Amino acid sequence: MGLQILSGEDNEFTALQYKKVFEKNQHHITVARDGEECVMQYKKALDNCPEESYPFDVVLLDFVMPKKNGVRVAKEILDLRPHQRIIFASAFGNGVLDDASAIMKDSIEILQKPFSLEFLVKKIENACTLNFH
Amino acid sequence: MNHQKTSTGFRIGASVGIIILMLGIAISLSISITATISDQMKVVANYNIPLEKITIQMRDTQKNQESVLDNAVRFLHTGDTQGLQLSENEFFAYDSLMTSQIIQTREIANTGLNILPQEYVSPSASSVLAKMENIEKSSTEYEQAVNNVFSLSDKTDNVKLDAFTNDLKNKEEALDAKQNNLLADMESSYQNIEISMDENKQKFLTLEIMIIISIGIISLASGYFVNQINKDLTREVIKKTKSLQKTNEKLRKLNVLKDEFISEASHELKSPLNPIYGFVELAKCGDIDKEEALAGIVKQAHQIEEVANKMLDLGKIDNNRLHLSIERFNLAKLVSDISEATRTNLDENVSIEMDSPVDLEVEADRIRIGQVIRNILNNSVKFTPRGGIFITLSLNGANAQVRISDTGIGIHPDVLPKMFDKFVTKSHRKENLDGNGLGLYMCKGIIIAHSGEINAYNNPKGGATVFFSIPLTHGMNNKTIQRSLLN
Repeated sequence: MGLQILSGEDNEFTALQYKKVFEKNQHHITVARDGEECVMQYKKALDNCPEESYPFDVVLLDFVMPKKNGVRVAKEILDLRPHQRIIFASAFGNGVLDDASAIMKDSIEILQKPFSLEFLVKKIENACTLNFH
Repeated sequence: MNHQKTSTGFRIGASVGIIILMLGIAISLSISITATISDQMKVVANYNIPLEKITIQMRDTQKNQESVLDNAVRFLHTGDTQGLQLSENEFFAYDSLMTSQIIQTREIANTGLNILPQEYVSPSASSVLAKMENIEKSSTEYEQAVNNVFSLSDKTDNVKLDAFTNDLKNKEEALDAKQNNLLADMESSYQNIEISMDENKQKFLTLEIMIIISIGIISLASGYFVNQINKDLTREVIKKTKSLQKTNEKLRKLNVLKDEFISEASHELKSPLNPIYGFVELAKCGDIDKEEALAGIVKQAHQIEEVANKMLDLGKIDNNRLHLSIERFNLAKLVSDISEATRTNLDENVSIEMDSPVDLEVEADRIRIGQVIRNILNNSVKFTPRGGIFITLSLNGANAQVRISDTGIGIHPDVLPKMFDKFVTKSHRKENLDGNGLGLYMCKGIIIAHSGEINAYNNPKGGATVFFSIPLTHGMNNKTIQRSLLN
């Protein structure tokens, strides 16, 4: 059974590519085009899933998004599910990502853009096979 | 502060100058008074003292002669020829001594006349010499009278003897009077010169005390001024240190902003690369067709180009070297197109309205003016969660004016006076480069390059208004039009 993925990505082409590559690999991806929509999608999925369980296997977030940035989205999601697996995809250098350290947990990873789609799929699949939940 | 330093410096200079002047005067006066005292002492040692001494000796010799003569007269009356002879010998021995003393007196007087400083020689050498001449004359007459007594042939002729003796007494008294007169002169002059020397010493002492007190006062004043300068300098150092600390803090902040800018700029440049790689990868696998991949890649490449151009523009604005591609276009249509495009991405609780003449032709860089309008409009959208944005275009003399007003949260009062400066923003690390306080800085640079003006204010009833105006004709603003009309 494929993974449930929520992606917050404002670049329409990247979002489209995520959709294509994850669906090709038998995973289900929900794409939100801004931070607010991302939180909203998470809450919506949370309403439909049993208590204590996770609506998504992984949340893939861009750092920079309209309305709410990736860090704020991650904080709100972690408030709802403290161990939610989150992967940031960012074009920022490492120094700028230090701001995220305030909410950094074991359940969070950062991927430096650019990366190949194949690498992303493998990364997410590997992360989820660890079955940390 | 500079004026204060100069003034204090001048005071110190003046104080040091006065000290040197006072010391100069003190030394000169001391030398002068010392020389006077030295001259007076020289005169006292070489003139007054020996003169007084020899005058007293002369008077003693005279007294001895008188005593010898008294004996001689007695011997005459008693007829003691041997005693008379002895008295005569003794008298002339004294006479020789007297002659020698008169010569010594003359020598001393001559020294006073020729060698010693005349202003301090008292009694004057010439008067002493004149008096000595009288004394010598009286002495000769006295000697003559004595000779008459000793050469009396008939020693028993009492009548002649009495006559000679009376004459001798008269001569004796005359000589005594002259000698006493000279001695009185000596004593009086000696006293005067001593008084004068005492006065000079007193003057010298008073002068020294005055100078010491003056130097003391001036030294204290200089100390005070130096202390003032120290205080001034300390204040200045503190002020400069504070100023440097402020500058340092400002530079530190600018450096942080610069680092953030570089980071965000690199982010903006790197972001489109991910979909480009994605397109290549998907096209290779055949998940999308090549046409679609190439179109996507081109679009992303344009985005990179736009970011790069923006950064280049920033550098050009910083160096006042922004190049404009001037063309004639309808500003009303440009504003309308941009507001229409912005409107499509708006939340339904925000509206954009526009009030403009149908045609408003300007000569300007269409791309860059569009960039300015988009930037201002995006800011309005960003800070207007709900309400309206109103765009007004108008003709203001030889200028076209664009006014974008909103009902949003307004501009923070700290930001308003410097909102067109570099790196000024209340938002922090937002969605794009414009969020880092460069958007309005670039807008200002573009408008200034068009010889226009840009400004902003908070609306009394909430929200903010940003407006700019550019000349209708490129290179012709109000001033240049007026100048060209006058010429």
